Amino acid sequence: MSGRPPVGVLRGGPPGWLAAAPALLVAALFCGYPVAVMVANSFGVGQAPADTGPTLDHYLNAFASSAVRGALIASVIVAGGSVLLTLGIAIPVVLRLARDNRAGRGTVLADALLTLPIALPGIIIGFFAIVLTGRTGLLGLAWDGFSGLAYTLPGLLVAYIYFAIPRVLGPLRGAAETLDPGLADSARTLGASRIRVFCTITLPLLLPAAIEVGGTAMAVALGGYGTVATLSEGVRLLPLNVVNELTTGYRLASSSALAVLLACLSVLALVAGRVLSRTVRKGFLS
Amino acid sequence: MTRIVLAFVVAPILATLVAATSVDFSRGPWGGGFTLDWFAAAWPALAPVIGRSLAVATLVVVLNLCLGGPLAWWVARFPSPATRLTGYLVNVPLAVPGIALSVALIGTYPMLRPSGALLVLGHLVFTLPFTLAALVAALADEELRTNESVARSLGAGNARVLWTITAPTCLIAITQAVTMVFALSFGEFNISFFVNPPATPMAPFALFDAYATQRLEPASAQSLIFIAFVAPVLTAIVLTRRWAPRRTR
Repeated sequence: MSGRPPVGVLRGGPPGWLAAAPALLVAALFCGYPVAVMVANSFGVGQAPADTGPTLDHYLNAFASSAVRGALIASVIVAGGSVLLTLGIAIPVVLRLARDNRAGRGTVLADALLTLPIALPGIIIGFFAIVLTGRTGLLGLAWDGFSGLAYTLPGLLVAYIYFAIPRVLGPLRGAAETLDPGLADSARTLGASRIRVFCTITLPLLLPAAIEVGGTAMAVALGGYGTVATLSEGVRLLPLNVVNELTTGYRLASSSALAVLLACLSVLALVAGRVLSRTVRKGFLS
Repeated sequence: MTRIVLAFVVAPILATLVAATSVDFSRGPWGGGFTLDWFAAAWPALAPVIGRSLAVATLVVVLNLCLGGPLAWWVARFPSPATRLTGYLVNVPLAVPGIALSVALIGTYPMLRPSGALLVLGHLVFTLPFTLAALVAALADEELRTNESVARSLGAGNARVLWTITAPTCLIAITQAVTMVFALSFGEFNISFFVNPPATPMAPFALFDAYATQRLEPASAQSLIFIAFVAPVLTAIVLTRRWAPRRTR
């Protein structure tokens, strides 16, 4: 708090942190504490019935189970794959939209439609997959190979791309708007081909933002439950196992262990995105 | 490419519309003819559920502003290790998956479940990071702080500064927070699925129930009714996003 004195405090009035206290109390009681209890549950030192004494069994059992290992791998493939594919789709789209916006061509409708899925719960996206590629799906009429696709790994991947589009496009759109179009234009007038400009100028400039956005989107996709819950008769992902442990027999400790595992994966994606993005940014500056 | 992506986003909604207006969708689009009966049949049961979801979302928005507003102000105006730590704490729900947080909440506070208090608090914790992100940036603005201190030095009271300078300047950030929080709470499934007492379902849970138990046609009609309620909020989100950069220019 060096430099300028804090503005907006009553002189001699209550200290500033008092204003923050109610929200902090809520966050600590209903977020910090429950998560701590969940971690304790997973090690058998939490609340009944997860208070059998310190143990690593719940984690060991999880890794020993082939169903959990399969779900874990499928989760990483679906979350990682869908985000990578979405990034591949999103980069040309945001560049195009940024160019249109600079040229004064309206992008409101495109922006609105591309943001739409963010307001839709995952279950609706799962339902979309059933309407189009379920057993009586609309696309199945056009080609038989489409029916039932919703319940397979590729089908789930497409559903998760739908889920990831607004979460990747939105933040990346901002990054594309701030790119200096002069750089690409100069390179073009100096004779560089379109592909060369994209590979040596536009993509490297956009890459740090793309990596960070990708990490965040992957964290969200890993934790997403609604989509896979609607399509639960197909491929199993890790969030389904977390729920299953609770709904069939209330095994709180093993459910907590899987939830902690899932949270660790999400945090890993988030942190990896941040760190990698910073490394790439530094790499280009030096 | 942009057109393909747009088509990819819109196509499922149109397909759902086709399913919702078909008498028998398993016989193809508009199999058995065109009908609006599925909408008419879905509405009476869905209306109170949507009403409940709208009420909860409104309550969550109000709580976000009442609790998150002062928190954002503290974080923006008194940066210190304590506020940085606060940032980490509040942002935990961004990293910890919704179902994990829900499992943690019902394990810790089973007694708050029947009244619905745990649902509202869960939504609040889940949406607080978005309020904080929108408001802290706006409240930390140097120009705003200068204007505030000028007004104060001219003798304006705290309430007057808040109403005539701080709130109007942060209007776009506040709108951003309100629309995002409303949309997230209205569409929130994980906490609603676990924490909420099943006798009083929230809209996304009612949809999930319809997907599991009903035919494709009524489930489609219910999905479209839900989407119709989300659409205005979505428009507001897009519009505030477009206004946002102008403020900083």
